[in-house]
Amino acid sequence: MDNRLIEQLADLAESFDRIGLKPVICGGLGIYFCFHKAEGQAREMIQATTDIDLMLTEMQVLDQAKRRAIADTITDGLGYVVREGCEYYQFTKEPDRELDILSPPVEGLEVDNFRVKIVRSKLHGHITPEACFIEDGLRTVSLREFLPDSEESGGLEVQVPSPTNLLLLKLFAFNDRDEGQRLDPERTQAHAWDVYVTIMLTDREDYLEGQDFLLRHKDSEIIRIARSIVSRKFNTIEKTGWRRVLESSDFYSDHNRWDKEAMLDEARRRLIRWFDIKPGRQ
Amino acid sequence: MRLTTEQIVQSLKSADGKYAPLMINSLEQQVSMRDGCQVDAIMDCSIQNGPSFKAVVEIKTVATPQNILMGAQLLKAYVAGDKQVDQIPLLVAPYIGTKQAKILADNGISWLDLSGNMSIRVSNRIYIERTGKPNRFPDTAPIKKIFQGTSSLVSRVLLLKPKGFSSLYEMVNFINARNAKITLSTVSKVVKKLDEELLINRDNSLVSVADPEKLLERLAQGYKNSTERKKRNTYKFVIEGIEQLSDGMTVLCKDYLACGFYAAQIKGLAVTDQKMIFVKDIEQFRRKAEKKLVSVTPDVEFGNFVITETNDPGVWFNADYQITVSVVDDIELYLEMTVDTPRGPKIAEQLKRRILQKGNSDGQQAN
Repeated sequence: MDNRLIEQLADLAESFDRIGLKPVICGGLGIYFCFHKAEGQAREMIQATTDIDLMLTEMQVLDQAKRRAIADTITDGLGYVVREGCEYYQFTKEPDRELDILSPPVEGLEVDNFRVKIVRSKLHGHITPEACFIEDGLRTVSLREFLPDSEESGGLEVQVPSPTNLLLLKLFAFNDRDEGQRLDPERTQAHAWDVYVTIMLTDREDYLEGQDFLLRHKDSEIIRIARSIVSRKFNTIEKTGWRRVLESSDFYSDHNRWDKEAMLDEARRRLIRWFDIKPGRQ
Repeated sequence: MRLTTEQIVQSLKSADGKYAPLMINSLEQQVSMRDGCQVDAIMDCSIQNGPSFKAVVEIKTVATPQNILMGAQLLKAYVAGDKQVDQIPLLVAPYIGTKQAKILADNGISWLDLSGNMSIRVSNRIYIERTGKPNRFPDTAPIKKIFQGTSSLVSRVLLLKPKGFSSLYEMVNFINARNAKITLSTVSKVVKKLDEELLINRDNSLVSVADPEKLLERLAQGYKNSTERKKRNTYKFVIEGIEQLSDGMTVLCKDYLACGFYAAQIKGLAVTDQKMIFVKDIEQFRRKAEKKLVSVTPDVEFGNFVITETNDPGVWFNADYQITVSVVDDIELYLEMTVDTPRGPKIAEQLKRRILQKGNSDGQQAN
């Protein structure tokens, strides 16, 4: 992962630390941190990313003073400026630093045009309903080992979603771009790739934790939709989910098609087991 | 197809331009030299439309490195003190490989093989080098896979005890005392082959490794090519409380062996969350585990143990048996790591240093 991105994250973590918070990191960087100790072959396949997806959780934004503190930290403290056309939920900072804000629906906060208005005219979050359980199973990661030369990074920590939450985010993101007006094959490929990498990097403990998670939220509409996405789009390797991965020239480029399909089938079996999809259920 | 000396002679006699530009004009067999020793042949040769020379010929029907070295030394002795500038020592064999060609070059001996390769130098007047032609006479005698299976144990013990063995019996006993079963006949055959390959020093009172690093490399090659290893199947199981398999505080755990990165972690060479073990028979292992209330459940997707079923004697030989978790020995782990890319080879390098340094007189490797 690009060292500048990690430094950008360290700045963010340091500023959040001053207001008593830990930034929750999603997207490619979230996958990277969630599985930084995993050993699977897929570890080498985590996609490089250039931006930080910052999820503001319900607990972080419930209190008005905290909301303002976060907004001030991002804009005044860290000097991010709003990206034109993506007002208040996408920020940039020279040189080439990007920060995207996401948020689950939060009771009491207005939602308008896919945005949760965290601080009016200052800080919004791209609404992410599938992140409604994001605080469940958050993992804390120290930045010490990623910035070994930096003395300041010693006590800095970020949080990343649990593997099940990462899968939920990626499944919904894939589905969002796989059909309808927002259809975008390139983006679906990137999201399907992340689904593959995530499921292949999980171990038995992640799986058991995931089963508890799904049991706790078994009546949730979000979980029902996620299962439906897996059933419809990842149930066989012929489905679009896995086909998008197979289409990527980077997917085990030195292997033949038979080997690639065998690897996808392993991921498929793990995913349908994770979401308890019965064979043949579409 | 193994040729006799007579067949090689006949082939040379009937060459008829086959080695052009080298021409074999005549060949006289079993010629006595001035000092009384008898050489296989003297050949009268020439270059097409060019100068001629004589070759003192030593014929080898089997071109093992050892045979070639012996032939080269004989030829050097034949021509020692010979002042004739147009006479050269020449070794002839059905096929001379790269390794053998180097031995001959190092000894200043010209050579010719019936497959069409040659390297001939006659003082500063003639130099012919032609290589790369394939072996037309592959030896059809069964090739002993001396670096695989039970045979590999001989090389392993030579590395464990680099000071050597005073007899083959001692070697047999040494191996059989370390959880393996080998016969004197097998040890004898493998030692002979290792001797031919110049990998060991052998005299009447001692068999010892000549170049431990080279021998370890050959073992690694054999491991890489091993069909037994390639056809091993691995299975994922969920095992909870595997330590309960231990029989208590005194009995060593011999039901399974930690291998791969799990073994490397136990040996302090790696950090891993993968648990990989060898068992001889999965069903027997499961039965024994279940008797001790340790559940062993197949789980292809999320099993926490990778189990490999194998009876390969190399795996079980000289294992480091402990009360809780037993692990494969350093040599076996080294071999595993050499093929476990991308992380394995780095660990293999550490193990290699350890193996080459720690082989000691009683042969017990510190695992």
